[in-house]
Amino acid sequence: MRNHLPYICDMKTQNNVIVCEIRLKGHLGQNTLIWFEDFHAEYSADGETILRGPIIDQAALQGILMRICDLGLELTLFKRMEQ
Amino acid sequence: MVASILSTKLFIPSTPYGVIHRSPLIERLTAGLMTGNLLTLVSAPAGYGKTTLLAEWIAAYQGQIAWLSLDGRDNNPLRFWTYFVTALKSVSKPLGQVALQMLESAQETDFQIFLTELVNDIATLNHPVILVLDDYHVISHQSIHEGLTFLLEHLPPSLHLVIATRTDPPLPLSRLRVRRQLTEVRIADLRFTTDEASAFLNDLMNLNLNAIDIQALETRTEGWIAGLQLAALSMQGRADAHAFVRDFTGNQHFVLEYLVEEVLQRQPESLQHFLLETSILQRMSASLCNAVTESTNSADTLMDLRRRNLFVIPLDGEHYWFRYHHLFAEFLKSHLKRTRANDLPLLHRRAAEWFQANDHPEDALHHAFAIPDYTYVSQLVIDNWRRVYHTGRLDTAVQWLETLPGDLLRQSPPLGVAYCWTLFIRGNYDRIDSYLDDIEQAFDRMVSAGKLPIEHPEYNIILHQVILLRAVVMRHQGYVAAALKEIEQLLPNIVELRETLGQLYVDMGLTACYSQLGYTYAAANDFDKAGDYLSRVSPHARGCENYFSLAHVTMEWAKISLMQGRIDQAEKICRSELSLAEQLNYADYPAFCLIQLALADVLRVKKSWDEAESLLSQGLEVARKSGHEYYLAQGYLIAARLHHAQGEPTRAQEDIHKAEQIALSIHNRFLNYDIDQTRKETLKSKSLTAQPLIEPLSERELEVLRLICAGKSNLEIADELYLALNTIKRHTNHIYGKLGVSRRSQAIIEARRLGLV
Repeated sequence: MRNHLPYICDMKTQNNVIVCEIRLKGHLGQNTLIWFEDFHAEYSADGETILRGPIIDQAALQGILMRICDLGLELTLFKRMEQ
Repeated sequence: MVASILSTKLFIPSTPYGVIHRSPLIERLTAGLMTGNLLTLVSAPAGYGKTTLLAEWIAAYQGQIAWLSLDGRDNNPLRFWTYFVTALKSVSKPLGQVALQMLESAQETDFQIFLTELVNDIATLNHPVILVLDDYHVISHQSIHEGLTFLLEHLPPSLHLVIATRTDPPLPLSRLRVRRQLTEVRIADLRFTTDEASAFLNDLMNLNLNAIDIQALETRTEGWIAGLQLAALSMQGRADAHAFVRDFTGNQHFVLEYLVEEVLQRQPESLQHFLLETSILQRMSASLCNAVTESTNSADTLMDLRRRNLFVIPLDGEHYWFRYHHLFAEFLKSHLKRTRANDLPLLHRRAAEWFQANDHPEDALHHAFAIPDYTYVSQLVIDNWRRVYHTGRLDTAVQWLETLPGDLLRQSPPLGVAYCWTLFIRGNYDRIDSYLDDIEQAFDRMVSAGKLPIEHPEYNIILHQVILLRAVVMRHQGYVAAALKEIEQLLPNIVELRETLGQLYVDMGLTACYSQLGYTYAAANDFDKAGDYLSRVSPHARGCENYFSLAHVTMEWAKISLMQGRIDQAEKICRSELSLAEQLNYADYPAFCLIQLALADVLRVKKSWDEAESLLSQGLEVARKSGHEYYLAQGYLIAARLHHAQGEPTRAQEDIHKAEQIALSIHNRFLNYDIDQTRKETLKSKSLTAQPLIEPLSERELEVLRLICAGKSNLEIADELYLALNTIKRHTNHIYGKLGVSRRSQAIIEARRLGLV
C-alpha cells in the first residue's frame, strides 16, 4: 500500500519506534480503549480523546488506522511527536 | 436448511421493519440512473443506512438487479471477476461465459482481454441491469480497481454500477464528477435532517419528544442514523425521556460506545446475556443461539431484536441465518471480553459442539481453536478431517493439522496418520517415515497401557494406514516390487474390516489400496495392470464419498489410457464420472474440477476443440472459486497442452509459467513433476495432433520414435525411459507398423518426412 500520509510521517528514527499522537472525537470508554492498549489516553476539554503511544512501522500504523475505521471512530488529528 | 455461500453473496437485502422513507435521496438515485450516469457511489462509514437506502431504492425499481456482497476473500482478481460474472449471470444466464474463458489467458495484472469480452457481452443485454457491489471497502488489490476503471470507461448503457462502501475507492471519481457521470451519496446526504430525526423518533419510535430535545439529539449524533436508533432504543419505555436527552447531550462520550452501553443496560438481563453471549458468533441461527445461551426461546428473541431494530441482519431469504451489525458486534465483543472473559471458553465450546452436531466442521473448529482446548480440537480434527479431505479441500485439512501443536501429530496416531496423508498428497515423502516411526511407537504404548480407544473406528485402522503409507514411500524410493507386495498383502486385512467396522471402512481401505496399486503399477510402466486396479476404485470411492481420490484416479486412469492410445476408453471413463458427479451433486466439491480437466485433455487429443475449451473453462472456474491453487495449476497445465495442440505455443508457455508461479508457493512435488512433463511435451516442435497417419502414434510411441531418431539404441532408450527392453521392442514394432516401414533407418526417414520429429 502507498504511504497516504504526508512527509510528517517519515519513519526514520534511531530506535525505529515512532511516538505518535492521535486525536479521536469523543471521550472513549473502556470498551473502546481496550483496542489501543499500547497507548496512553487523555481526555481533552473540547470532547476529544488524545492517544499517545508507539507505532513501530508503516504496517502498524495502517493497522491502527483500520481499527479506527472499524470502530466507527472519527480521526481529527495525527501527529508524529518529536523526540 | 443452510444457504450456500453463493446464495448469501448474491442475496438482495430487503428493507427492514420501520424505515424512514428517504424520498429525496431515492429520487436523486433514480434521476442519476435516468440521465445515464455510469456509477452510483454510496460512500459513508458504518451506521449511515447505506444498505437500507439501496434496498429501498431497488425494491421500487422495475428493472433487473444483481447484488454482490463482497468479503475479504474477494480481494483476489480471479475470484472477484468470477463472482462479478456470476452475479450478472443471475439476471442473464448466458452472459459472461466466453468472457470467463478469456479470464484464463489473462496475465497477472492485465485483464484487458477478459474485460473487453465482458464489455461486449454486457452490450448484448437487451434490458437495463443494475449491479450493486456491497462493501467494496474490502477490496484493496490494485488490479481490481484498474479493472473496474476500465469497465467504467467502456460501460455499455445497459449496465449501471452501484458501489456501496465505507471508504472511497481509488477509482477516477473526480473525472466522473466533472463529467457529471457520477451519482454520489455521502455522509452529508445520509445524515438524518431534523425533520427526518423527528419523524423517526416521534412517529416511528413513538417517543413524543419536543422540538428542542430532537434538535439536541440530532446535533449530538450529527444525524448519525445508528446513533439515533440507539438513542431511541434507550428512551423507549423510559418515563423520563427528557432526562436521557439531558444526560446524553450533556457529556462528551464517544457516541457509539455511550449509546450501546445505555441500550444494553436497559434491556432485560436475559436479553443482555443473550446479546453478549451470541456476540462470539460470526453468524447466528435460532438453534445455535439456544445452544450457546442455554435457552429455548432464541427464535422469539431474534424476532424481537429484529422488530426492535437492534442491529440484527438476515443473511438469507429464509431468515434462518443472521448476524449482528458490525459496529454493534464489535462493541458487544469487547464488553464481553472485559466483563466476562472467564465465560469465553465455555461459550466457544457450546458453539463448537453445535456446529459439529450440525455438520459444519469448519465453524466447529474455528470455535474450538478459540477456546483453546487442544484435546477437544484434536478430537474434532480426527472426526472431521476425512470428510473435508474427501471433498478435495486439502488446504483446510492441512491448516487444521498444522495449527495443532507439533508434537501432537507424533503422539496421536490418528492425527499423525492424517498428517502423513497430507504430506503424501503434496509429494513430501521425505518426512513421512519419521512420523510413521513415532506413530507406531505411540500406538504401541497405547496398546500396552490398555488405553487404545477401540470403540473409535479411526484407531482400528492405524496399522493398515501405516503399512500403506510405508509402501507409498517405498515406491517413491524406487522399490516398486516391494511396494506392490506390501499393498497386495494388505488387501485381505481390509476386506476383513467389514465384520468389525462395516462396509464404509472397507470402501475407504479399498479405495486407498486400489488407487495406490494403480499408481504403483503405472510407475512400473505396467499400464494394463494399472488400469485394471484403477478401474476398481470407483464404486468403493463413491461408497465412502471419497471424491478426492475418485477425481485423482479418474485423471490418472484417463492419462494412462491416452498413453496406451485408448482414447475412447479415456473419454468414456471421464464422461461416466462427470455424469455421476452431477447426479450425486458432488459437482460442488473442489476436487471435481480434475475430472472436467481430464476430459478436456482427452478431447484435446480427439481435436474436439470447442468442447475441450468449454470444459477447460468450467474446470478453471471451479478451481478459482475453490481457492485451492493446486487445482488451478493443474488447470493451467491442461490449458498449456490444449493451446499447444491448437498451434499457439506462446500461449502454452504462458500457461506453464502461471502453473510454475503457483508451484513456487505451494510446495507440491506432484505439481512440479506434472509441470516438467507438460513442459517437455509442449516444447516439442510439432504438436501431437498434427499427424497425417491413418493410425496415429501414441504419446509413448512418439517418445520412443524421437529417441530412435536421435540415434539411440533400444537398450539406451529402455534406460532413459525406465522401461524394459522387451517393452521397447514392442513399441518399435508398433511404430514400424504404423509408419509402414520394416527397418529402423526407414523409420527415421519416414518420421522426418512426416514431420513427426
